[in-house]
Amino acid sequence: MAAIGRAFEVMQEIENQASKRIPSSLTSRINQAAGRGSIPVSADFFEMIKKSLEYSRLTEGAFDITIGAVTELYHFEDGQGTLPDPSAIRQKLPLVGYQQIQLDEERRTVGLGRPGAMIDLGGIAKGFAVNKAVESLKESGIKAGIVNAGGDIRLFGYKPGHKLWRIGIQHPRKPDQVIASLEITDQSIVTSGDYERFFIRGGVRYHHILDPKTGYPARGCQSVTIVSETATDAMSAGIFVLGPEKGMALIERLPQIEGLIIDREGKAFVSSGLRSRLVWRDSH
Amino acid sequence: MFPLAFDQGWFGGIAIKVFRRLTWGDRILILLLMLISLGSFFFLPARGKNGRVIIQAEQGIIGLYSLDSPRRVISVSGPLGSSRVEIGGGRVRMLSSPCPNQVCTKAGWIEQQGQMICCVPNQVLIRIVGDESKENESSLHLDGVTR
Repeated sequence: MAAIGRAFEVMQEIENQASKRIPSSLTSRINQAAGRGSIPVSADFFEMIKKSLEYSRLTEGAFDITIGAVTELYHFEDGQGTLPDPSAIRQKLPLVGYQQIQLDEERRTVGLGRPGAMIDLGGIAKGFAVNKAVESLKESGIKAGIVNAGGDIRLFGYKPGHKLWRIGIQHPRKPDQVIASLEITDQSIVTSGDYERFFIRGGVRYHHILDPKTGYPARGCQSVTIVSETATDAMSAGIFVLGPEKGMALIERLPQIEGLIIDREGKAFVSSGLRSRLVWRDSH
Repeated sequence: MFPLAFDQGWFGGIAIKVFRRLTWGDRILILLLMLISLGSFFFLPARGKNGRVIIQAEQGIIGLYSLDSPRRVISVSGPLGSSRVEIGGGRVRMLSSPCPNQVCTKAGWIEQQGQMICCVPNQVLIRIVGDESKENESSLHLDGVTR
C-alpha cells in the first residue's frame, strides 16, 4: 500500500509543477518570465520539456507546448468555453513555436524566447505522470499493475492466472460505449479525442486539441489512440492534429508505436501492427 | 389427433393390440417418458434475441456483437480473402466467402445459442453464446477504458 501511496505522490508532484492553474508552479513561473529569462527546474520537469520537444520534432510541430498563449483564449477549463475573436487568435499565433524554448542542460533551466509566450503541458503531463508512477511502482517491487490517469493507461505484468489486461477504447460519439478492446501488457494505451473538453457554437464543435499552425481546433479526426511502450499522450495529440493520412503514415514509420485513428466521418484506420489485436464491439 | 388415428386403418389396429398387451408398469413408463420429453422443451436455450455473436479469425476473436443489433455486415480477412458476416434481427449468417465449396454460406442463418458456422478454408468461425455464458462475461470485462 505504501508503494501505491508513493506512486500517487509522484503523480501529484508532477501535477503541482506542470499545472498552469497553480501560480507557483514551474509552468506559471516560466510563462511569467517569457522573453526575460530562464527558470531553474526539477530533473523530472526538465525531462518532460525535453520529451515534448522530441514529440514536436517528430510531428513537425503538430504537437507544440507553446500553443499555451492561444489555448488560454478559449477558456476550456471553465466548462463553458469562449469562442475567441479571430483577431485575438491572429495576434497570439506568432507566440507559438517550440523552437523558442531554451533549455540549459548544465544549469537545468527552461526559458521562453518571446515575451507573452506560454507553455501548456496539458498534452504531455498526464502521460509523463503515468510513466513516472509505473517506474515508482516497479522500484517498490510491484510485479504487476495498471496506472490509469483519466484514460491514459499503462500496464505491466500479468493479472492472476497469467492473464493479459483487457482495455476498451472509448467510442468518440457514444459516451458510454467502447468501439473496440484489446489485450495488452508492458505497454501503454492513450487516446486524444475531440469529446473530452469542448463547446459547441453555431453547430460547430470547438475542442481543446488546437492546431498550432492555425490556432483553431484540428478538424481531421474524432479520436486517436496510441499503443506504445511508454504513455505518449503527446503523440496521440500530435497525430490528431496531423489528421488521418499524415498521422497514419507517421505511425507506420515509427516502429515502436501502433495506433487507431477515427477520422472526422467516424471511419476507423488501424495501423498494421494493431490490426490483429483489436476486438471490435457493437458500437463499431 | 392421436386417439382418433388410433382406431383407424391397419396401423391403428396394430397399435391397439400392442397397447392391450402392455402391463400397467409399461404404460406408466411410457407416460413418464412422454412427460419428460415434453418438459425438456423448457430447458432448451432461449431462441435468438438475447445472444451474442463471437467472430473468430486466424488470430483469435476479432469481434463481439449483440445478436439483436440492427443489420450490419462485417468483413473478416482470412488466408483466402475477405469473408462477410451479416448480423441482424436476432440472427447471423455468412453472407459471402472466398472459399471453394461455400459450405459456410450454404449453412444459412443461425439464431440459437450454441450454434456455429465454421469456414475451414478461410479460417472464420461464427458462434452464438448466451449473454450469461462465462465466455461472454470474461470477454466483455474490461480492466480500463482509454479516452
